[in-house]
Amino acid sequence: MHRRVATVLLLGMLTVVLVGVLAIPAAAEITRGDCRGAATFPDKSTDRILDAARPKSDVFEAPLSATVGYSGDLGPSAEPSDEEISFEGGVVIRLPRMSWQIVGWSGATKEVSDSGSYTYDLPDFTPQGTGGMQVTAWHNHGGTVCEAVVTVSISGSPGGVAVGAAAVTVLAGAGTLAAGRRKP
Amino acid sequence: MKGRPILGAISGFLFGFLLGVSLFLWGVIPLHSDFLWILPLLGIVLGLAMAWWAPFGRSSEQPAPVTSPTVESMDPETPEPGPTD
Repeated sequence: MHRRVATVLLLGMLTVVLVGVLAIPAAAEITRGDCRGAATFPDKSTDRILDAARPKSDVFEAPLSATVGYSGDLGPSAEPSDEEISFEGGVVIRLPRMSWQIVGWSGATKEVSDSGSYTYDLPDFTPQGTGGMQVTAWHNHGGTVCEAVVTVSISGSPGGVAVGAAAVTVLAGAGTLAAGRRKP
Repeated sequence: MKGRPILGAISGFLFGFLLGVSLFLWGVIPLHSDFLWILPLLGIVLGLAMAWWAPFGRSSEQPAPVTSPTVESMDPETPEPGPTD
C-alpha cells in the first residue's frame, strides 16, 4: 500500500515537471506600444545587435563587460512636441512569481527619441552560461507606454559556482534519501 | 511515519531549491522559470514521502525475539515439581 502511494506521488511529481517543460510559452517581444530600440555591442564578433523586436525565445549572449551603443524612439509616427513632456521608465528582470527593477529613469523632454552609449562591467563572479534572464524595458512618455522584452544571458561557460551547486545538490539529495531510513 | 519526516522536509526543500539553482546555472532553465519555486515544494513532498515510505533499514515488522521464561514470570501458586517416588 505504502509503495503504491509513494509511486503515485513520484509519478505525479514527474508529470508536473514534464508539463512545465513542455509548456514553454511563445510570446511577442514588444509587448506594448510602437516603440523601437536597439543596443549594439561592438566588441562582439557575431550577433552584435540586440533589437527590441528580437524574439524572446532567441537568447542574446552579452559579454561580462562592454560599452554599448543604444538608440530608441517612441515609434514611426511620434513627433517632437513644443512643450516638455514628463517621462519615466526602467529595466526590470523577471524572477519566478515577481520582478526586480534594476534601473529607472525619469525627467521631462520635448524629444521622442534618444541615443548614446553606456559602459558596464559586471564582477567576475557573475554566473556565466546560465539560462536566459528575461529583461523588460518600459517607458511611459506622458501617458504613451512602451514595453519591450528580451532574453539575455552572460556569455561564458558555467564555472566553479555551478559545479559547487551541483555537488551540494547531490548531498541534499542524499539527505532526502536518508529520510527514508527506518527509525530504530 | 517510519522514517525521518523533519530530515525529509528540510533536505527535500534544499534538494529542490539547489536543483533549480543548478539547472539555471547550467543553462537548462531560465531565471524566471516556475521550476525555481515548484522544485523546492516537490522536494518537500519527496522528502516526506520518503519518510513515510521508509524503504531503507530494518523492517519494524520482524517477529518478537523468543525469550526463555524467568523466575518472575512463573506463577507462585503453582507448586514446584517435587521428587517422584
